[in-house]
Amino acid sequence: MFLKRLALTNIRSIERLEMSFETAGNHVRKWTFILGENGTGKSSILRAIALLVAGSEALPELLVRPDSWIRLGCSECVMEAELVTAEGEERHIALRWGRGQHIRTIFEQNKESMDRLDAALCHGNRNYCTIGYGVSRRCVDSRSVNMFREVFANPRAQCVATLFSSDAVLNPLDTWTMDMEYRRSKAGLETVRQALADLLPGVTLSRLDRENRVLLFSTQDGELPLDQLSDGYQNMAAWCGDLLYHITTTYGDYKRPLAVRGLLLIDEIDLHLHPVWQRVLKNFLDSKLPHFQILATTHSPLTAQQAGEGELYFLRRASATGPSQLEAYAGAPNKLLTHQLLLSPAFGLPSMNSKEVEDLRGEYRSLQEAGASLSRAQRTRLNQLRDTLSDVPDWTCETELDRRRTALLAKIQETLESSTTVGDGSGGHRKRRA
Amino acid sequence: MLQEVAVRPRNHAAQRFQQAAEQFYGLNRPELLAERWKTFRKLDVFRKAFVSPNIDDALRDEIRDMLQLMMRDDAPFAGMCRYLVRQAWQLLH
Repeated sequence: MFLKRLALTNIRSIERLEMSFETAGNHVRKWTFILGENGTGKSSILRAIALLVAGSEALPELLVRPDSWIRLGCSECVMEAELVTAEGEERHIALRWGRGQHIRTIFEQNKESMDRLDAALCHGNRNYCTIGYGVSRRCVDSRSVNMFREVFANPRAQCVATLFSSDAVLNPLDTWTMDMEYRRSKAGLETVRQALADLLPGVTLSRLDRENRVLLFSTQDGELPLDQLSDGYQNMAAWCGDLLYHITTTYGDYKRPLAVRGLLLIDEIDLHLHPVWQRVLKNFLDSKLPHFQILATTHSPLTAQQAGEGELYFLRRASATGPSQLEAYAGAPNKLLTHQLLLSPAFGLPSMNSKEVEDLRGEYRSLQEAGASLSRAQRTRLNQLRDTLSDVPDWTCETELDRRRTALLAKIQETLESSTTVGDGSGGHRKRRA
Repeated sequence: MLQEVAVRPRNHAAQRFQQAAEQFYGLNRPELLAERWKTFRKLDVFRKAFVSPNIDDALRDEIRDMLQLMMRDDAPFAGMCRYLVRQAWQLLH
């Protein structure tokens, strides 16, 4: 199952949003990145999708406070989607509810649409595979006294739990890897080992320490358990490990469980990641999950720079108190330099200078414009600013060497143009003045 | 079209120095390759003009001064300029 179209009405900060996931060739787009300042509704989009495809058994667990979804000042919210199955069949699903309605009324009101989705899910939870991760994703220590427990009972709700609950934790990699090795022998462990080796640079899964119930990794500092790796490694290993867990548990009997079709929703995909990793994450997921449709939010220009043409969207408010609006980025971010992307409307930075330098330049300009009317103190300040700003790097600034070089090149050009070569025109030695 | 100038070792003995410079100073990072090309293009124009019989001595002196400036310690890509002007092209000593 893939997502072909999404429409949201009166969902939190979003008044109206239409999003197509179709490419020019009528295929479903594999990657979609969403940018946006905090509070513009990026996470709400991911949660709305998770809610739409949850099915009637998972929905009551995820939709705890229906009113909290409805935009302030509005009486009703609507979320709709077009899904397309592996066979190319389209399914329209929608959820609509009003302020003050309880879950039972919402079920009755949306029965027709939910029946359609449930019919598709009826063969078990292997259909319409949807996995989602919120920003609070974290792993519980497998040796902790606070044992891992699911906050949701339904398996489809569990797959998107961290999008909806900050209490939800990921399946501890140590525990389930050992369990999988026990159940599926070395083949299952090899899948995990290979995936982690591709993802975590300089670190490989070396062995299982069954006595202490930990995975041991070979690192530059020697053999270490997962909880002694850096936070970035742990976070990445945690959610990628959880992703592998859900896929291998549900599709463990498949020859290539990672080749299944599905939908992956990730909030702030590059959370805790060093820029070097941010640049390889898309390729990693492409190679590991070739048939997953992935919808990710990000604040990182390095992640956004991985997007191809038509894959990047950004949310922004037209006015300070207005609703968020979704805009498609025109162009191919993966052909741009990072600073070009930062200065584009997608990020909206006014300058590549630091905020401090930007403010100093602004102050300098306004003092300079005042001209003769400056007070003595203001003139002193103007001189101070001139000194400070003269030491600040400016890539557009022409150096003294540049100026002299340009002047000399002009002089050479003038000299050569004023002399006409006689002969074959290819640079003979006789010349005359024009 | 990709137009750039990279620093490469001329022989085996120079290899480890080049590798160290690349590792610690990022000598061959993509942005520098392109910037180095821009300086090379200008230097090459000065070379052609310097050896051209179509310019007078006064202008040749100005070009000589410019070549000296481009080889100064504080000039960008001075190492490349020194190598080309002194060794490869043998324009100045």
